[in-house]
Amino acid sequence: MTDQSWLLPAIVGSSLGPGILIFFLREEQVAPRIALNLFGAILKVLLVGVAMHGFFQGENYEFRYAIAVDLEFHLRVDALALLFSVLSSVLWLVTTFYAIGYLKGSPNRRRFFGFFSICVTASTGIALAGNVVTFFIFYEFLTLATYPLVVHQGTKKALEAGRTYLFYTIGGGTVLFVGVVWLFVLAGSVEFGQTELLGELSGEQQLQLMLLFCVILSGLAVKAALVPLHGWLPAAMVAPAPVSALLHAVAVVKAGVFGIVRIIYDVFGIDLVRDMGMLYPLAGIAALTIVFGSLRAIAQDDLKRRLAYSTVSQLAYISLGVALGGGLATLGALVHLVHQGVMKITLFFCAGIIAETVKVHRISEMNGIGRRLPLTMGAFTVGALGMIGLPPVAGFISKWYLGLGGLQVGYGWVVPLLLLSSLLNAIYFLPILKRAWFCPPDGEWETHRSSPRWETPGMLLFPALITAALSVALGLFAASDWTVVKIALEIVESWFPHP
Amino acid sequence: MILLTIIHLPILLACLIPLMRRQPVLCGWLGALAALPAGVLAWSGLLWPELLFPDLFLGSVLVLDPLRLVFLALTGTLWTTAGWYARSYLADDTQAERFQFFFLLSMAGNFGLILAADLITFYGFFVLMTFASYGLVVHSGNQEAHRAGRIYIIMGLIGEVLLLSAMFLAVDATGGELRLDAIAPAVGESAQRGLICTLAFLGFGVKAGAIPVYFWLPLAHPVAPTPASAVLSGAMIKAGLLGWLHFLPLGEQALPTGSAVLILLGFGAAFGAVALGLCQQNAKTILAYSSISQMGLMTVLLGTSLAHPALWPVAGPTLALFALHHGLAKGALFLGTGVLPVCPVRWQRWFWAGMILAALALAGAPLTSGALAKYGFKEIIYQTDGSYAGLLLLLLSLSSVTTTLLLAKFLRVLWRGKPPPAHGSFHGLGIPWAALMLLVALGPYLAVVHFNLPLTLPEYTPGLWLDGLWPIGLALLILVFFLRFAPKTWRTASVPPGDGVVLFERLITSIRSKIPFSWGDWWDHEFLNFTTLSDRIIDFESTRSVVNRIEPRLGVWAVFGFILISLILGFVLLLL
Repeated sequence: MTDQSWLLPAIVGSSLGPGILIFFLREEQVAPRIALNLFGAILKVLLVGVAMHGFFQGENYEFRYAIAVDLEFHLRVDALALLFSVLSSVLWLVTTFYAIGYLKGSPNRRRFFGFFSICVTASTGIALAGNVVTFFIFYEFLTLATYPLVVHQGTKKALEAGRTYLFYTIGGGTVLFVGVVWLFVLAGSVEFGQTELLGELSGEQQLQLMLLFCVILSGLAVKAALVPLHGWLPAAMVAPAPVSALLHAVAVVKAGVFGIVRIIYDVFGIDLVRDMGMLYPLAGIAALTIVFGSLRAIAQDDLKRRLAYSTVSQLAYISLGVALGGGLATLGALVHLVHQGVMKITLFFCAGIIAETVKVHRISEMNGIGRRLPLTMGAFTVGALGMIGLPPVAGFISKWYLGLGGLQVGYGWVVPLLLLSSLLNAIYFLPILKRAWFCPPDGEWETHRSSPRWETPGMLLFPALITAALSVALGLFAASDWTVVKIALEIVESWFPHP
Repeated sequence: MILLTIIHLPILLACLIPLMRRQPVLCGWLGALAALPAGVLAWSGLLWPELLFPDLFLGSVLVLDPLRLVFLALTGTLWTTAGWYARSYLADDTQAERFQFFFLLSMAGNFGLILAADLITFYGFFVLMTFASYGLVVHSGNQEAHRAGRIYIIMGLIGEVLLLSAMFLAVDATGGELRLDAIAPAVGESAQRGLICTLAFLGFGVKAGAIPVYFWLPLAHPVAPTPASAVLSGAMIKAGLLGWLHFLPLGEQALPTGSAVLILLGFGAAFGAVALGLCQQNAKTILAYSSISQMGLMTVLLGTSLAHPALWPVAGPTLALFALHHGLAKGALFLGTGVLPVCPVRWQRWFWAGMILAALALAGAPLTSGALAKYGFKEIIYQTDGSYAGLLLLLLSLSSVTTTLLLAKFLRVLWRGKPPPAHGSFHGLGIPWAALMLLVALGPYLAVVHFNLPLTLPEYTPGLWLDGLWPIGLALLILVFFLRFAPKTWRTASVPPGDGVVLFERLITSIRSKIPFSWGDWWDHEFLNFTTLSDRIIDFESTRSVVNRIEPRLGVWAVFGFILISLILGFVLLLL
C-alpha cells in the first residue's frame, strides 16, 4: 500500500486553506477570492472522488496525530464517512457558485466567504473523524464557524437569531462535551467502530451507560433539531439563502444526525442500544418531531420559515430510521441523509431566487409566479414533490425503505406515520405549487431582468436546476451502481450482516 | 426499446413545449403525435417479452402481455383521438401550451403504468398520471374548476396514501420482491390479506370511481376541457381497474367475503350512479355518473372472479374487453358533446346516429361492442354454478335498462339543453370523433379476433337478440311513460354534482362558521410554540437576572462554606 496518508488532511485542508487565505485578501479583491473559493471547492470534490475510488478498490485511508497522551487526532475513511463527505463536498461546490451569484455586490463578502469555507472544513472533518474526540472538535468548530454566517446581514433580527442559534448550539455542545468526557473516562479514547469497548461494560454499568447515551444524544439532538430542541432552526432562517441552504441541507443539521448515526452504530453498537431500551424512546421523539414539524410548517406564511419547519420534520425521518434499528430502516435513513440534502438545498436555492428576483418572501404573494420564474418554480416543484415522497424524485426512495424497514422490525405504526407525514407535506407544499402555476398573478411582476438571457442570473438559476436534476436522477436511477443506495447498502451490510 | 419509446415520447415532447412558444400549430399536434406510436403498436397486436432496466428506479421491468395489450389499445386509441381533437378544441386557448404539457405527462403516466411489470415503476407512473391530470382538471381556471381540482387532488392524495400502504404491506408479504406478478400470490398467502385487499381496493377505487370514494369524479371529469374529459373518463379511470387486477389475489385464492363485498359495491355503484345521474342537468356530468355505473359493473365481474379463481383465465380477458368497450364508447360520447355546437345542420343526422350507436353500445344492444362484453360477462356467470347466478343475470339485465335510461337522459339533455360553448372547427373536432366512432364499432371485435383473447364471439340466436333488446325496449317504455305521466317536480329533480361531497362541504362550512378555529392560529399558539417558549427561557435578560440574584448570595460565607465542604466530601467519596 502506498503511503496516501496525506489525502485525508488534504480533503479537510482544501477548504480550510482558501478560507484562511480569503481573510488576508482585501474586500474589493473579488476575482482572487472567487478563484480561491472555486479552487478549494473543486479540489475538494476531486480529492473526495479519489478517496472514494480508492476506498472501493480496497485502499485504507487513515491519518493519526497524537495531540496528547491517549488523545489522538484521527481521520479515516469508511463508507459512512464517504457518504457524508461526498454529500457535503458536492453540495458545497454548487452552493459556492450560488453564493457568489447571490452576494454579488453586497458588503462583507470577505468575512462571509472566509467563514463559509471554514464551515465546510468542519463538516468534512465531522465526516472523516475517526474517533469521538476528533468528531467533537470539528462539531464545535462548526458551531463557531456558522455563527458569523447566520448573523451576516447584521440586522437586529439577524443578531437575535444568531443569539438564539448560539444559545442552542453552545448549550448542546456543552452537554455533548460532558458526554464525550464521560465516555473518555469510562472507556478511553473510543474509535468509531470499536463497539466492543462499551459492550464489555454493559453488564455492570448498564445504568451509567444509559445515562451517558442520553447525555450524548441530547447534545446531538440540538443540531439534529429534534423536538423540543429545534427552536434555533426556524430562527436561523433569517440568514442569507446560501447559508440557509448549507445549514439545512449539508452542514449543521446533518452534523447532528450524522453524529446520532455514529454514536448508535459505531460507539455503542446497535445491539447494546437496543438492549438498553433506548431505541424506542428515540423513535418516539423522532415520530413526534415528524408530525410536529409538519404541523408547524402548515401555519407558516413566510416561505423560508415553512421550509425550515419542513426541515425539522424531514430530518427526523433520519433519526427515525436509525432508531428503528433494522437493516432496511437504517438504509432508508442513510439514503435520506443525502436525498433530503439535495432536495432541500434545491428548495432553499429557489426561495433565495424568488426573494432576490421578485422580492417575494410570503407564500400568499406567490400567485402566478410560475409565469415570471418558470425554471425556478420548475426546480421548486421537483423539490416539493420529492419532499412529499413522490416518485421519481429521490424522496420516494428513502420513504420506501423507511416504510419497509418499519415493517421489517415489526413496527407497523411507521407506515401510517410516514403516510401521515406525506399528507402533511402535501398540505403545505401543494398549495404553493398551485399558486405558482394555476393562479393568475395579483399584479404585474417586476419585469426588470438582471440577466439578459435567463429569468434570473445564471449563477443563481443553474445551481438550483442542477440540484433539482440531481434529485430526480437520484430517484430515477436509484438502483444503478454509483448512487447513494449502493453506498448506503454497503454501510448497512457492515452493521447488519444479514439485512 | 419500443416500449420505452412509447413512454418516453410524451415526456420528451412535454419537455420540448417551452421551446415551442412561437409554434402553436406544431404544439397543437404534439398530443396526437405522442400517442400515435402506442396506438399503432397496440393494434398491431405484437406482444413484447420482458425488458429489464436494472438501473431505473429500483430495477424497472416493462412488458406487453395480452392483458396489457388490450389496455394499451384502449389508451393508445383514446389519447391519439383526444390529442387530435384537442388541437382544434384548444386552438384559441391562451393557455394551450400548459394544457398540452399536462396532457402529455398524464399520457406518459397512463402508458407507463400499463406497461410496467414491477411495482415501483407502476406506482411511479400512476403518481405521474394522478398529479399531471390535476393540470387538466383545473385548466379552465374558473372557480368551479378550482373546486373540482381541490377535491380531485385531496381524493387523489388519499388514494396515493392508501395505495402506498397497500404496497408496503404487499412487499412485506412478498419478502422484498417487487415484480407485479409476484404481488397477487403473496397477497393471497399473507396473514394481512384482508387489510391489503381493502387498502388496494380503496386506493385504486379513487381512480376507478368505486363506492365510497367516487364523488370527485362527477365534479372533475366534466369540468376539464372536453378532450381531457374523454381521457379521464375513458382511459385514466381504467388505471384503477388495472391496479385491482395486479393487487387482488385473482386466480389464486377464493375470497368469498371479498367477492360478496365487491359484488354488492359494484351493483350499488351500477344502480346508484344511474339514480344520481338521472338527477343531473349537465350532459358531461351525466356521462361521468355513467362511468361510475359502468365501473360498478366491472367491479361486479371482478367480485365474481374473486370467488372463482378457476375462471380467471377467461374472466381476466373479459374484464379487459369490457374496459376496452366502455372506454372507447365513453370517449366517443364525451368528444361528441364538443362536436355538437360546431356541427353544421347537414351533418347533424350523422352526428346523432353516431352518438346513438355509442349509447346503444354501452347499453349492450345486439351487434355492438357492448353485446360482446355482456355476452362474455354472462358466460362467466353461467360457469360459476352458484346459487346467485340467476340473481346476478337478472341484475345485469336490469343494469342494461338503467344504462339505457341514463344515456337517454344524456342525449335528451344534449339535444334540448343549453348548448355548451363552441370551441374549434367542425373538421378539427368531427374527424377525430368519427375515427373514434369507427373503433367503437369495430375495435372490440378486432381485439378478440386479432389479439387471440380466449373468448368466444356470440352467435346471434333469436334468444340472444331478445336478451339484448328487451332491456332497451323496457327502458324506452319507461321513458315514454315518465315523460307523459310523471309530475313535473319529478322531472326537474336535481342533486348537486358530486352528491356526497357537497353534504360534506356544507358540514365543514357550518362547523367552521360555528367554531372560530384556524389551523394557523392553533399551531402558532404560544403554548405549542417551543421557539417562543425556549426564547423566553434563554432570554438574556431573565437569565442574567437569575445569575445576578444568585451571585450576592454565593458571597455569603455560610453558603460558600457549605458548598465547599460538600464538594470536598464528594471528592473524598469518589476517591474511596
